[in-house]
Amino acid sequence: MNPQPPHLDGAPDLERRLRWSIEGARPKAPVALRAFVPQVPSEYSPLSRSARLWRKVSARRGLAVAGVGAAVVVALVAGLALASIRGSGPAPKGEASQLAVASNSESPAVSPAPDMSPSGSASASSPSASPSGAGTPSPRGTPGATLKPVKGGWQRGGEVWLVGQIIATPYAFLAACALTEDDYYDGVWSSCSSSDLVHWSSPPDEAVFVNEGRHPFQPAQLIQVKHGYAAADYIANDSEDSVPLEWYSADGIHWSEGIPAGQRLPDPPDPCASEARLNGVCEQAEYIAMDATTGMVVAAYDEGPDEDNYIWTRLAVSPDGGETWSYPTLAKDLWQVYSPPLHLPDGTWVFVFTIMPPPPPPGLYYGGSPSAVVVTSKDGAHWTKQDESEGAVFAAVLGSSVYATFGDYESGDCDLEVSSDGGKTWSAVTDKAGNAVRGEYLQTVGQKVVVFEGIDSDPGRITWVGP
Amino acid sequence: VTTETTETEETKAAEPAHATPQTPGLEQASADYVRLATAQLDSAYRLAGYLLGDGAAAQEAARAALIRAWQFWPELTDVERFPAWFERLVVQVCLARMGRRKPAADAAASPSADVFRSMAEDDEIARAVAKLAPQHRAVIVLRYWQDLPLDQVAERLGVPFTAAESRLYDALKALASELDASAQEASVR
Repeated sequence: MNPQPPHLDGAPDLERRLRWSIEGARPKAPVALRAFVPQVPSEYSPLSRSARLWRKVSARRGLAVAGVGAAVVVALVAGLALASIRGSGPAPKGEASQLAVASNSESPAVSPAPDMSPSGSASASSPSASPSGAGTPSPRGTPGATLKPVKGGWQRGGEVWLVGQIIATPYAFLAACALTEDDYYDGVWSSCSSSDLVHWSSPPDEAVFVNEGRHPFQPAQLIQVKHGYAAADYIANDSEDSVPLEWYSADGIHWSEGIPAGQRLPDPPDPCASEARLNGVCEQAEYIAMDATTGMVVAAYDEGPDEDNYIWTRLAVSPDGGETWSYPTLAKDLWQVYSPPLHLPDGTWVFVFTIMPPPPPPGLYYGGSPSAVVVTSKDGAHWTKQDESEGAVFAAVLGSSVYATFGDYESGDCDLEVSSDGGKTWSAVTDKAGNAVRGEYLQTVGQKVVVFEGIDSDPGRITWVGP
Repeated sequence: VTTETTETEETKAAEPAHATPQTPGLEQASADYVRLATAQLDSAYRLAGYLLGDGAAAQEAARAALIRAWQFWPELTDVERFPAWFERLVVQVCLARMGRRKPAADAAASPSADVFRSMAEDDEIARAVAKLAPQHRAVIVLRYWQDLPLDQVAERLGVPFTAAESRLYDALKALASELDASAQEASVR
């Protein structure tokens, strides 16, 4: 590489002037800032791996995870889960995966969320935008057909830069997106829709999405409620804090702000009141999910910090929708959850846990992220490390298959592998031409697994969709 | 995953002393953090100041980057990389703020006390740089005011070398136009 600036007429003179302009303007850091440095390690703690992950995912995908926002999502989801159990009974089996939602109870992100203008406008004429669906456009709010995701194995993703998680309604995939790299980093995000997860349009196809609210629709999470859909969104206000915004749609097309009283779900029980008390520390669940068939709820809670200032994940399991809880004993080196709890059709629970390495010899310290492993459980009480999965980064479940990315967490240099036996054995995933399916972050959307580019290594485009 | 600070045959042979999971040298990490962050502080403060054009905002951004660096410390695999890694955090924090920052209400209140504000007021080039789009300003500041070679500019921005190269080209072009526009404006007056 040649670290020289590109040629531009007059550039040498401009460069000289630029360098000269800085002369005499090289101030030192103020004393107060200097005094702040040693305070940081005593006032703050290194974040857990999962927290760091979600901070990045959130920052990159526009969630701007604030404790209050996360609590709303957890409340929505846990409320739904418990309401399903206690009220109208278990949801159909096929809906189970929609109940598995990840959230985070960490403190607000340091980096503020970018502004999102009410217009939510991104350049619709950008060459990056591809039309969603083919044929003649349908009238506003009248979809021609239900979704038909792209078929035929693994396909490479499009050029759109996904900001939020993808949500699926019967008629469209919806997400927040940016159309160019600059838009992505400048926070110029908008709503977008797709009929196949590969081709996205912004603004969204009016046949499948109608925003009846005052703000741009930039959903972070979506769940199915008794009579429609509820979504949690985030908007940034002028004070640089993020505030949660709730959306509701009865038909998956027309979205309005706020959830009607009749559709509002009960708050989840106070974890302390329901005895989800771990070593005296009562925390908001970081992840919570329910198997709609059995009614078993699995929650992951932060425990600690311990005497060494480290946070550990402990699991709480309820066989009866939150009425009673037990706390399984995990292997001592299982440190923190990384991906949300997933479950297979046979009831097997699947987690990705980081492994705390043995203490280093004197004079050495660990600086990097530890390895992770898939752990599974049939009953929620006994959890087994699947040794063959060591090195996993993120996981998703589709049908009876577990998909996981393996590789370098930091660089995002990861390959996708699949296991059809609950994580015991794994094989590489390729497209029909034999190209390795690569990416780091996974999301199951409908009947597809969506693979995103590395979490740590921006940007966040969809790399593959399949199978 | 493991970074070596002092390596001897004795430490190499040492067995883990604990049967249960323990902290991986948090005290050592804390000491390293303070040492490295302190050494990098002047440069980070200047970087934030050049990007934001305001001393108080620079201090605030540097604080945010310091906190973030400690929170994300476990991801720093090699302490030698700290300067570049930390400056990348500073750039990220500043870019996020540049996109949303409102013009300071008291911008003219005490310009002489703030080197960064004075720069933008007294120097034609600095004034033009301040008017550039955030991504253009960032690449100019890193390349010419922080005097980094382009491959390191790319690293700080988290983009490929070629992207940094074209961004610098665009930024210089935008700067030249801005200076032309200023000159024309001055001649009209």
